[in-house]
Amino acid sequence: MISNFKAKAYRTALSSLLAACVLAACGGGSSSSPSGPSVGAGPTNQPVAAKPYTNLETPEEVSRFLIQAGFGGTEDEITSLVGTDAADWIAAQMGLPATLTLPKMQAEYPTRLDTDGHHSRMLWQTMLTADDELRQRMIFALSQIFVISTDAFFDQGYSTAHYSDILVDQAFGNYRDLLEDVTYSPAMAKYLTYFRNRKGDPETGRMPDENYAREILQLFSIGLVELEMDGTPKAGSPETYDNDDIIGLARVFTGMSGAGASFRWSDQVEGFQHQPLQVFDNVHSSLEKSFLGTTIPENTGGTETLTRALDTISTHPNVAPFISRQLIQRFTASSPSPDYVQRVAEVFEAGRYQAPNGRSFGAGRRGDLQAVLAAILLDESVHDDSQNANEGKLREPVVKFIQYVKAFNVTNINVWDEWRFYDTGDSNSALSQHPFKSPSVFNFYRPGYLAPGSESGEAGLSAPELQIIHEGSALGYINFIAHYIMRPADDPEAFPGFQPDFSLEIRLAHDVEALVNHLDVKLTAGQLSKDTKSDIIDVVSTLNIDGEDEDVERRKRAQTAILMIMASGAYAVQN
Amino acid sequence: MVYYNRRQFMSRSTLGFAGAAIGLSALTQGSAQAASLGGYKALVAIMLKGGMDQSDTILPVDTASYDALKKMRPGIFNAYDAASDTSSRNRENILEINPTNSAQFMGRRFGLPRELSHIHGMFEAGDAAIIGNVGPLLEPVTRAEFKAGVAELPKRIFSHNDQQSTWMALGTEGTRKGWGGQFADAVLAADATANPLYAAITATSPDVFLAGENTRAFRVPQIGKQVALDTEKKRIYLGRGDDSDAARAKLGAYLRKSESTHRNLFRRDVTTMAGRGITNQVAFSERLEMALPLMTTFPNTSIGRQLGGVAQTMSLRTELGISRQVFYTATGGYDTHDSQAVDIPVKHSELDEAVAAFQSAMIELGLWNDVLLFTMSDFGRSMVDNGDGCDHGWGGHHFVMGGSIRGQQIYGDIPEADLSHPQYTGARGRLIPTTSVEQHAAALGRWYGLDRGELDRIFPNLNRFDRAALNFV
Repeated sequence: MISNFKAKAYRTALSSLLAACVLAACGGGSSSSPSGPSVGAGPTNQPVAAKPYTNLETPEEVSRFLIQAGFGGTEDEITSLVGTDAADWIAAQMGLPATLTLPKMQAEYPTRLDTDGHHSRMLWQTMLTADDELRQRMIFALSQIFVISTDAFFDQGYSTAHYSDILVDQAFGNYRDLLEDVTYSPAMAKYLTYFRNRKGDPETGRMPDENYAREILQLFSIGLVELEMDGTPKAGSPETYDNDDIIGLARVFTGMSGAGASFRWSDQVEGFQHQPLQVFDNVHSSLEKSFLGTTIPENTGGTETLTRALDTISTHPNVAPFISRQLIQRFTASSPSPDYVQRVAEVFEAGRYQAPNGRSFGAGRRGDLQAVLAAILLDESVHDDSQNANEGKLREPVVKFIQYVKAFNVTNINVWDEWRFYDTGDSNSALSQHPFKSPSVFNFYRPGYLAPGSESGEAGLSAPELQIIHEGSALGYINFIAHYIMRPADDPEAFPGFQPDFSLEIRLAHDVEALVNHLDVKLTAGQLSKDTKSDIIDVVSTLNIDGEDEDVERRKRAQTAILMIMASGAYAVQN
Repeated sequence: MVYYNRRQFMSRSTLGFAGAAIGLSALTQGSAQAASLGGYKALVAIMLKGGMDQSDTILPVDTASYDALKKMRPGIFNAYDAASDTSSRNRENILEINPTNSAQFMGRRFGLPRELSHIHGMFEAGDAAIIGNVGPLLEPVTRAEFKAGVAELPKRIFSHNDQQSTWMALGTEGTRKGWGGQFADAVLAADATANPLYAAITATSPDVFLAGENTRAFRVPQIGKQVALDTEKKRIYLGRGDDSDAARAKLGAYLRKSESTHRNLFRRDVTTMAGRGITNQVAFSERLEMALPLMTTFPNTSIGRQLGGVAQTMSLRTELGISRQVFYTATGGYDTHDSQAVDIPVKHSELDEAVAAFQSAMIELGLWNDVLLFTMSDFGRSMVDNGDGCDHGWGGHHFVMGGSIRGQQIYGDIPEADLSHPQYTGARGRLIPTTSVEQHAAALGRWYGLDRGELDRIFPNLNRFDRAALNFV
């Protein structure tokens, strides 16, 4: 056991060494030092002698990058982006107009009450149809850190849409602003129960609700243990706060209610459910508030108190590694190396990132999310050619399905007509994941999850997604995707929604190897294993093309090949 | 609600019926033997996620205690409109329990809210016990020690995920093995004939509770859910010709493949899990389809369907080749920071009705004496309210149920609603546990058949506590 493990670790070390050599040999280091941002390069595309490592040289590299950063590539994208730089794609995506959900929610449902039972589908609809895919990925990532769940809301669809639009606004914004917008959002206030939370009452003994004080620290900002910049715990794992900090901070989140003339329901303005909360000083705790080494003196006004508290929280040294590591996990690596976390955390601190091709991201203010996101997606470790045993990311089921929709230009997407989209979180029959609908504020999975009985767990690699991708959910995933791959194309009258375009694959169906190679590049960046490929070719070739209904036979081959790839290990893990 | 048709039931299982008729807490168990593996035994965990409020579950009934609690949480009692005749928290409407050890409580009397009427009935019939003020501890702790910071404490005692993990696996999030999985390990080590696949069963997510050294949780479907591979079951997917049949068979084999040549560990893991999962799930479901369905009707709630899935699995115990099983179920919604008066009664009712159905099913199968059903939760909650809810605490009160327990008793302690009581941490009234999770779990393990050495290996702090205190089985 032990010697095996050592051998594995040795192989890993060896392959990183090889990777470094490959990188140097291809001139990847010429425009930037591999250990940090480049010095002295211009702000925009400046000509460089050798192309930086972020240049997308082959269709496979394009496909791989689009899987990491977005929802995979279409044929057109995969062809047209060869020879371009990943940084330019990121910059272009950041410039796309944002897709907002609240206006669509209001158009679909004339009153808030009409959203009952439907609004969690609306957020799916946006992700399935929006063009600003990098932003959508970022929103999905942020929604898994700053978690609310539509499960908790019933008819508060305007609130949840407003909340998702906050993430839209700040997806390429700043962490500090995001934390504030989240804190002032009616959805979060309802979800974590500080909506109309009153100051303590010495007479009755009532104390302020501690829920948000606890979770904003544990989940949205600093976590429980003091961290090094590389995201590993400091020696001895000192805890970041104790219960007295919580009691102090709980006083901060008092007096917040819907906008209006007073704290009371009856005085709140129309539509307060989708406007920032207001702080009412008469119900805000006037006591001294001590937490995280800061003291806000007694009788400080509510708004001022909140500003100071959020400043204190967001400037804690844990924030950069804590948030950076989780964002990396949502895009590129289920178990990012400490070095990778540190590189991104330093960008978080600096608020600016210089891409290897010279393009600059971020305004220079700490917590700039454009800079952080670019640093994650352009990191040297995700652009090297080697596929190490411990790198890569288990793809979220939601993202896998959206890739299918994009790859085959699926049209007629209207989730209100699809009962399966009422709750795609069901693990027996669906994806085990539904956007904005996790079982609790702890998300679908935990960032440090090590799967019991797994090789990755044995090697100490965190694999959050294995908390929902496991033996008990494998069948549900296969059945769900098999339905959408097979039924709408087979029987458009009975299943008019989610119509795929398999025309290209149907044209290739007589040449199974060509079909599989084509799908391999498009869906898995050319990473199907030899064995998987030969299994797929074997099964697909077994289906004859010789009958009267050649169109159907060709389509069956294409569908079967797609299903088999989407069931493969190479598809499940981007690397 | 009718859970169970008695006539049908009699024809099915006279043994079970005989057990039921005598009310049966009285079947005595021999003292625990090393690797004692005779007959069938199952532990069934119900994880109440969010942190169940013990103060709103075991309620005081005598006027003084009731008034004292009401004073600690006026907001919650107001929200229940406790003064009204119809309120479930009106003192008159609380279902009093009559523990055989009531003398221990010096005139303090207790009851359950009416939403827990079935559990109340089980308690009174000797089929349920209450374990008071139990929670994670490394050593006995007093308030003085807690305040002075000199006690050795479990880490992160008020954090949800960490305390769920600590209850189930004795360590914060990331701990690799739970005591449920380790119980299964011990049995598998002692019984070469047992089928390891079915030693630890979850009807929900694969939480750490069932993870062992050699034990992996097997996921069973909730009752009423069919599980099949549609590419096989629905012929239309691949077509109906001979070539389609051949491709279908090969596709089935491909989807069941758990071996791979991937070097990437994540790819190896997903391939293994998917292949094993599909193989075993389909095989299990096919077995289930052939089995005699249960006559007991389970409530159509998450916990109801899960316990139904557990009962259904137990009905296959002989075919599955297993005589010791640990089961895991879970239900959320107990994190009642607000709206407690609305939310807790609903959660309690769901629990109560699911447990009642489960008892009926066990009687139907003749297994009520062979199961122990027990609750766990992240933590208890603050006795002092925050308006219309309460906040994270530490110790809480829990139920153990089954035909063979020494029921109708309160084990451990239920401290009074008095902040000067040394078991409260401070002004919020969070309980410092008096009984450790390890003590509690070890009592379950003893019944399950583990010997002293095995228990000491799983529970490293057991010797710091009274091992004999919890003799509910």
